[in-house]
Amino acid sequence: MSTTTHPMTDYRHKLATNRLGLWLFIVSDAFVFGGLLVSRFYLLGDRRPDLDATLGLIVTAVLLISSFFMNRAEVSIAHGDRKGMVINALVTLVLGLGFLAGVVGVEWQLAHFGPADGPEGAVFYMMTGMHAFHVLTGVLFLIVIVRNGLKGKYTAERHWGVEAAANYWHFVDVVWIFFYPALYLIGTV
Amino acid sequence: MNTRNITKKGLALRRGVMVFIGLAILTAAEFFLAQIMVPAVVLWIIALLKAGLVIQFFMHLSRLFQPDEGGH
Repeated sequence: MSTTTHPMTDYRHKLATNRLGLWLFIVSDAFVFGGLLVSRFYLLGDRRPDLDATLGLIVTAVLLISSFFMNRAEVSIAHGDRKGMVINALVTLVLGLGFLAGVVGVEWQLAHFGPADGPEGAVFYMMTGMHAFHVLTGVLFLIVIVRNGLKGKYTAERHWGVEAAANYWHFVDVVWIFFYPALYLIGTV
Repeated sequence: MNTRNITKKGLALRRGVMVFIGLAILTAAEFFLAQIMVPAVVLWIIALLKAGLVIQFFMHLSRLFQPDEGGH
């Protein structure tokens, strides 16, 4: 009896394992962010850091728009449009850098407190810093898939790298969906 | 690229647009509701709805349980 399997069957099996592995990573990483979210309410309660609400809305919008373009990148390659994937991934990358500039470059400079100025500073810089680090790694991930895309390494049938980058990027977006109200909207200054 | 593929791609892109519009509306809603000091639970419900949209339609959680879905 032959034990050889079709390469596509092998690939599908590997893909299913990869997806499970990525989701396990995402869930474990979510616990870290969950811990930070709990510590924000434990340490600050009904108070919230004194931050620029408009800037918070702008960076949130930038990250949501970046997720939209990341979805377009994945849809493009899933239908064989390599150029569309590269362009949309590049737009996502630029928006990710814009988000980092907004939080680290502007919000951190405008904040009336530093990381060592009590629980307010500790909570704000730890939450935004940890999240910004994940955005930065997402940007690096995007650079890799853009480079591979330009080299023609992805096809409509095989593009796990793009799917993984997209899922990671959307996960970072989901984290901010909870951090945004926790830092900017809930409680009084 | 055949016509069927273009149609499928168009549908997938349109779904992305609809999800984005939903996220934009919910984000605007939570911002303005926070200005009138609604209870925090309302903002958490909006955040859960937004996260649900992203996880279901952008992260394709269902693919985890249907290995053949996604076409690759």
